[in-house]
Amino acid sequence: MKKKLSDLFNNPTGIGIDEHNDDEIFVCDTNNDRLVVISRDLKWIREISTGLETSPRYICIEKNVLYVTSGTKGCVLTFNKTTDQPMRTIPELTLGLTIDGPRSIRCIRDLLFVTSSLSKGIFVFTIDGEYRGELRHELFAKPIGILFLDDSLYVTDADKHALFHFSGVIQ
Amino acid sequence: MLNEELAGTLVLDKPISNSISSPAGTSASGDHDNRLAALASGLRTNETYFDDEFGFEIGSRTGKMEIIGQEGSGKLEFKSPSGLTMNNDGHLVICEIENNRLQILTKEFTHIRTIIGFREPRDVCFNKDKRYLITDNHKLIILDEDFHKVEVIGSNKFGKGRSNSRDCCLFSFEKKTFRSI
Repeated sequence: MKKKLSDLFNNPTGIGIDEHNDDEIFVCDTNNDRLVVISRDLKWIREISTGLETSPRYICIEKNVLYVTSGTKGCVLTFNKTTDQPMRTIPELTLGLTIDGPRSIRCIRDLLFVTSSLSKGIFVFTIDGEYRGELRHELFAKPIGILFLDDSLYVTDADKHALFHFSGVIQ
Repeated sequence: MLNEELAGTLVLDKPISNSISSPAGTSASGDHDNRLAALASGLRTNETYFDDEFGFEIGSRTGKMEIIGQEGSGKLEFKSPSGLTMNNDGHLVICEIENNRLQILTKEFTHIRTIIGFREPRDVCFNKDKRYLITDNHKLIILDEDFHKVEVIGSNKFGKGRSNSRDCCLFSFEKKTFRSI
């Protein structure tokens, strides 16, 4: 089926690249409550519904699982990459814990790091969804983007209008 | 340009017990305060603290924290920075939603380039084909490594991309160019 790619997105936000599957591109089509999957040569492949009123914001892909932050649900939604089927919610709903304004998500050493733009911190979970705590810095105002590089952690802050750099955090 | 080291610690608030029954806030924040106090008294400033349970060592010797930039539109200044990535040169590429631009910096925070011509860029990725993928307004912009436009998917008009009988919008803002300054 050939789809026209005009008028495709409604406020797309995060982008993920699946390095284990031909560099497929996953775009969080935030206001359409879906992920749009595009091939490396920029052809439409498929879409994955993230559920009604989920506002998918950012995505990371690890071990055949899509981890997607949901702006409206305050959590991380997970999907089986092969079947597109939803899996667990992180944190588990029974914990009564929400991530206020979740944004960027990154996975390193089997840990998920999720910025919480409203609670001014970075939530840490295992890839199985176990809550491991929250990284805080007294100067965080609205952390959005995170990136791990070498031994460093970089965090963009939309209210501080600045880039935080923590070096020596990974050894 | 502002590139100063500031005192401060990155603190891990750990859950106080394995079973959290109440929403985050009350007890967790109490724990947080204690930890901050403990760190303030027990550690030097401008250290980075990670729990060794992570498999990361506590960076008490090598850890350093800096804040780069302040609000503004000049080099090494930012307005609503959001997604960021690393490119082929090992440089940081940072989207700035309110400045409608990307800034490219070295890891030592030397300004390399600023790319303008966006409309609220939110996230950026760099792929193996040496292309930048950027979400911007209602579209996905693909630029080559010299920031020349390769393709734009979507338009400045929102949509759902389904059963579309019109093909007018595909590259409707073809005139738009991205400039390096």
